[in-house]
Amino acid sequence: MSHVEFDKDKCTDCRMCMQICSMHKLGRVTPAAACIQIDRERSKYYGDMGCRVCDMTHERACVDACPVEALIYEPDLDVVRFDAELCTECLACLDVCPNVARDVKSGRIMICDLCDGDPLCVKWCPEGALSWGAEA
Amino acid sequence: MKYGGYMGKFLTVDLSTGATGTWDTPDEMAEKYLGGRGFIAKMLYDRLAPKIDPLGPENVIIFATGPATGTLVPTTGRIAIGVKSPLTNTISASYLGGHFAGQVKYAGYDGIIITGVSPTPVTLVIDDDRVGLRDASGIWGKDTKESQDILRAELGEGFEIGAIGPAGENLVPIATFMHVQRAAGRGGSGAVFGSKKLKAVAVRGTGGISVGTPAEEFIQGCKEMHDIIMANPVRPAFRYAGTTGMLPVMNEVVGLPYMNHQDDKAPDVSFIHNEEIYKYVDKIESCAGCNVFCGAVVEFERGGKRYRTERLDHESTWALGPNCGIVDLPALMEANMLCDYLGLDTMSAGGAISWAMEMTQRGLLSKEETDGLDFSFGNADVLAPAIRSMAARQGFGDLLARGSREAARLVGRGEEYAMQVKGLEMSAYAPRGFTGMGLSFATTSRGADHNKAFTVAAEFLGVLGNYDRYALEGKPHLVKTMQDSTCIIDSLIMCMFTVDLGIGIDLYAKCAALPTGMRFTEADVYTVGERINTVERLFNMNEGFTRADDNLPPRFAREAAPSDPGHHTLDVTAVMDEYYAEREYDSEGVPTPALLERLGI
Repeated sequence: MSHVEFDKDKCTDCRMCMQICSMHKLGRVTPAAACIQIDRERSKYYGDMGCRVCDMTHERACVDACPVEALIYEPDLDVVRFDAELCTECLACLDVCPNVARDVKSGRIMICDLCDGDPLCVKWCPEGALSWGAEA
Repeated sequence: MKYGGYMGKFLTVDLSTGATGTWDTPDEMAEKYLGGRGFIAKMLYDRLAPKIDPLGPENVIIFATGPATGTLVPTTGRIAIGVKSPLTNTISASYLGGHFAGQVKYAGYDGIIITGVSPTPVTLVIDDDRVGLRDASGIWGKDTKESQDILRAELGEGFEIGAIGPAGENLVPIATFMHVQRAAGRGGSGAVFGSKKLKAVAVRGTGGISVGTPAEEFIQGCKEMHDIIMANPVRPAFRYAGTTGMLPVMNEVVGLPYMNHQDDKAPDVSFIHNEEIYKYVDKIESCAGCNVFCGAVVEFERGGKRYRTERLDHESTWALGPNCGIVDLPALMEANMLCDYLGLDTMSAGGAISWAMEMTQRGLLSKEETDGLDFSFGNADVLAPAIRSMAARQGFGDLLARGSREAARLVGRGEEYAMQVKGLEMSAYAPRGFTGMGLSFATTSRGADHNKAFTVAAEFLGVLGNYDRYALEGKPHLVKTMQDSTCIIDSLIMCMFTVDLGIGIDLYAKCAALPTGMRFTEADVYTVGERINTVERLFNMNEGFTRADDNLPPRFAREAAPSDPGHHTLDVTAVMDEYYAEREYDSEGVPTPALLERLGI
């Protein structure tokens, strides 16, 4: 089991991860819809960096919340998959987990699938603030 | 809009009536002017009648992005803000980084066209296609930091915010528009916001940018650009110490103006060496989509107070530091912070202060005239009170706030010590030591500006050519071609630093082609750039500018820098005919009909 890990001290807020993620998944640079969201503490001037991305603990709140089978856990790759054909846009998944995003234009639910084993956000991060690897 | 990278429309806002709407971005404008600075040149030239009052209701504020803005093309977190400048009366575009630019596009716009005057202070709030004016009387009078903090808390997540400070509200002609501590700094756009009672702009966008190249090809192309920058040997210096690394280098080679350009070398710059600057760094910061990282948060103490603010950059450090003979780093950080918060251009503020210092040195300005402030070179303690009085337009500060040239005219003496061109204070490169920079200062449309043809690249760094830095031979051609190619960087919009980081003209052409899907060649870089410069020239001609305005302050032709063993002087008028010929302007500096026809203007 693995997930994208975030080092808040290294992140410079370039948000390139959000650009590449959305470009790869949607074919449009749409940072607000990226599966990874750089999320800065906004109550402070130059506040602490934060990040929202599926932690792959797979308590699967999103899957359980989905009234149809638009979100399905895929054990082989150990990720949750989205099927747009089945989605009724009830948005229940968004309510139960902060790490689920949605592309407003297409209605597509966005959830990290580790880019099939080679997360582009990790690859593009210029500071090494993002990493991933199998946990023991 | 048939090209990728564009959103296809501008948001229009009439502050007089509160009416908002959209204006379709013409395909032809994209083809001929690309974006950013090009759009501003074309739109202001088309929309502004000659000789309007820059602070009157007829002036227009144009925010313009480029086709690469907010995409994966590296360093595209920048937006251009165009106005007729209240400082210079020229056309003026200034640029700010951070995260504002992308949000404008994600909200669905190539830019924003702001007209009219609001009866009361307002904030323009853009939340995708929901656009409104919000009462700003509660933040009017507050500095740029506090204003942004309040709006950030009130508006909620995802908004990127920019605001003017008291300087802009008080119509100071060297006032900025600030996004966090990124400044649209030069030319006084902040005063135009103030004249329109537009205190702030907040924008949030949830949409996306479609590109004109197949997705995989686009991603691959952008990755190549990123890899070039990451592998460049200069990048770690930016990443470590920001942009100030060049200051000691310039000083070593007698190319750093000192004490209002009286010399081109400071006796001591050890206090601004990289390791000194880095001592204060708490965290590295970057603009959206950037992997250079020239920004940082610093923490420092001065006068018993502790501050957390943005790191000094090259020009601010110089303008307030060596230019004023000041060697106190915390004082510079404090002065820089004050300028940012009050909304003043650090460079013009430094240039105005250094003018007052030289006037004091020469006995041309008394303490009675300066409200008792001691404008002696090297007096670090004068910076903060001078900056505060400039933003508030109090007493002598009200003179300095108008820039060095206007201050001299109002005092009635010392205009020759105002180190400016067309009213815009000069930058941290010595014209006598880099004659291309001198010619560029003299001829650039918005006045003395180091960023519109950074010839030091070819005169010293060996990038984009290899020229004798003191000779004028070949410089008209160098300046012309660099002024043209820089237009593309300012129109895409990418960061100027990419010039130093391995992005050549062929790659800028590629950075234009990737998002748009246009066939865009190296030749197009120069042609589009030539068109933009020519339209800016036409704008200025309509304002009454002539050949006589394309010159430097008289000092450079009369005196050599004392530290220069070669005793070089510089008279750029010696090559002005050649420069005009390169540009296809006539002997009075007017674009020829043949040029206008060739460029389709």
